[in-house]
Amino acid sequence: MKNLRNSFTEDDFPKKELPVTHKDEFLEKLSKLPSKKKYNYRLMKIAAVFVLLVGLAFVFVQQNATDDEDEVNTVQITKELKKVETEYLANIDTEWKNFLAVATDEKLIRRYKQKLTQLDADYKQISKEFKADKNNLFVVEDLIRNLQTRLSLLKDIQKHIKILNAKKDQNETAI
Amino acid sequence: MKQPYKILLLLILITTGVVSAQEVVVYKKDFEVNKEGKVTLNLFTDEVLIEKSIDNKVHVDYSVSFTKYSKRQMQNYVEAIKVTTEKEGGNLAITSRGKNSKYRFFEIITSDKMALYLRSRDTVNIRKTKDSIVKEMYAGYKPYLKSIKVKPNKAKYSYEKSKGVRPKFVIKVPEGVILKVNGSSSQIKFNKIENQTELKIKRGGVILDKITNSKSRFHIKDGYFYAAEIEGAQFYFNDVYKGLIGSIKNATIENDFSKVEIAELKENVKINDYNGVFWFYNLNNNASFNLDSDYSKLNIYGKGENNNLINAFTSKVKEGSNPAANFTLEDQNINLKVANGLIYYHN
Repeated sequence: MKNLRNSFTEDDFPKKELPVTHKDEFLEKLSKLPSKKKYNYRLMKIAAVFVLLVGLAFVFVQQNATDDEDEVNTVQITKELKKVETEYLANIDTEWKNFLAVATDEKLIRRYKQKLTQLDADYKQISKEFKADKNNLFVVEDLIRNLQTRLSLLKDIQKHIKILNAKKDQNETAI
Repeated sequence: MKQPYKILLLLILITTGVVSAQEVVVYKKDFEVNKEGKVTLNLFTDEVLIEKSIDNKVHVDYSVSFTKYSKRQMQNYVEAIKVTTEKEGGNLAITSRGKNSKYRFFEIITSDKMALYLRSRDTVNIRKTKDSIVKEMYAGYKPYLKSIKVKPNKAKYSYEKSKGVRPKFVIKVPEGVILKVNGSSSQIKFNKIENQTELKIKRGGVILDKITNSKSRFHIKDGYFYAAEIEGAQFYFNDVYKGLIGSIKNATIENDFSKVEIAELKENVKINDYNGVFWFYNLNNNASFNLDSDYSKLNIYGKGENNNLINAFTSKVKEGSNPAANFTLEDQNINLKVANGLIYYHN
């Protein structure tokens, strides 16, 4: 058994020297290796700015789309309201004539004339409010309700008069 | 931090400008007023809740809670609301103009000719109780549009339906002060208010739980009036298209061209009507009642019940006969003057 104390003192390593071309060979091999891809930060910056611009444009378009849509709805509402108004006014006019044909009570005719004049004045007032704020749900409702009220008042009173007249006829027949 | 991450963070911050839920205070102020002073409230296209103040101050508190509104949208909304106050001596005047709902993301399909005839179907002749009237009162606002059909714009609606704006305008008034309210296209709610109140409203409506002050006066034109309990006060209804009253006593109603439903008609009620429609769902036995009407339509419920008021009507217009009524009846507690009227009996 060798003395361990002497094991490293003995020159056991090979004595062979490196060839003179070793360095050149190493550099040649190194250059042949595939080079590691370099990160292109410039391109990343351009992409990030692009994403940012797209994001900003999206937010801007979203916010402005709401206003555009309101504008479209306003035009639509005005158009539809005009149609509804024309229909109602034609019906109201017909029903007013029908009412005059059946009503004999002067006081009733006077009250109804006053009522319809007053409702027409209210309608003009609400129309002004509508022009100022065309997209207001309550103002649109007020306009339509005004027309509905006029029409239903005239229709209801005619039914009422017909029943009263039927009773009169019944009494006259009984006599 | 590397540049791309910084940009990404910036992008996230921009897109979160759309806040999910936020409450914005529009106006908040307290005022000292004289104990017997006057608080005047002028409202234009707004909604307000009037409550009792627990101290001797008037509290004006207007806030709006937004859901999924961008900062810009919130700012636009809040800027449209105008609240001003003016204090003179021991009196206070509050003026407010609100911002109303819009047709956002709803589109009109068409006007409907049939809609012209839908109004007559409004009230179904089903007997109502005080509880059902109260339930109906607080069922919430339902758009009344019938002539124009609207439908949601599907492309926007799925996202936008989750958006919301909820204005909350509360005025607290101390006991004793006189309350004067002028409203136009507004909704005024009262909660446990016993103050003497003078209210005039044109379009819009009034919702109140209980009114006990006999000096109070309410004038409603072209609107709705809902009250759970009336124990005093005077009312003038002109073109009230929906009047709902849970119970009424010690009160006077002047009525023109209006439709009023009363669940419980109690003692000492006086009604002067011209061309109105009334629904009396429950007539209290032995209730004193004074009715002066011309061209009115009266719906009386409790057919066949032994009730002095029902008996008074049926003594003049028999059940099942022609409903036309022209009569005068004067009794100890009942005074009925019905000219050109129609009386219908229901179960």
